[in-house]
Amino acid sequence: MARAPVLRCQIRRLRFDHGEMTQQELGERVGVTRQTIIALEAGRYAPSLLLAFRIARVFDASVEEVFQYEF
Amino acid sequence: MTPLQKMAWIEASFWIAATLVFLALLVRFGPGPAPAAFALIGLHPIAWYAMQRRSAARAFQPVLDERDQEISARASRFGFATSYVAFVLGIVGLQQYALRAGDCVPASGLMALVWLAVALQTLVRNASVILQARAQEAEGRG
Repeated sequence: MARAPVLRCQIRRLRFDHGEMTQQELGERVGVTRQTIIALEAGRYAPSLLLAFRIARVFDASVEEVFQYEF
Repeated sequence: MTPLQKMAWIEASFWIAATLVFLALLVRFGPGPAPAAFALIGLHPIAWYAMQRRSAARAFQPVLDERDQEISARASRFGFATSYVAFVLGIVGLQQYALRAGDCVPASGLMALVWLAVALQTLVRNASVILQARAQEAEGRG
């Protein structure tokens, strides 16, 4: 049976690499609530393309560096 | 808790209260005046206003992001589907009741059924919002 695809993200690591940025701060910078950042880090929410780009831009990284699609 | 979840709790509380008052009136006065209980729903915006005032930093600007909208849309579909099925089953029940009684379908019964269907839709939608949001946020705090 095929495994369900998984979206992994490096947001937590990137936040700490960028001066221990808080979830609240990241949320404010990309225009979402802290709860959405929590859901993203837990791998329970797949962001829109626009949000993925906004998050990547905050960390000065590519989308692929922040999100990895595994199937 | 996001503004969406807070709003879901407030809305659900009002509809639960209105439904309980409706049931009490139904028992006491019958199906005619009972739907008057749903006038309580008119107070709902006051609670929302009070909640907004407490959050001075974001007064009148609830932060609803794309995840909230997605959750809300999914919950609304679920609420409407549930309410539709319940309403149709209620209509069938009323019709059967009328057939057995050899009478026509009571207008007060139809009215009560409409209000109950709306109450069910709102309750299911808000419960779904709260459960979805909690499930997505679980195990992710820190």
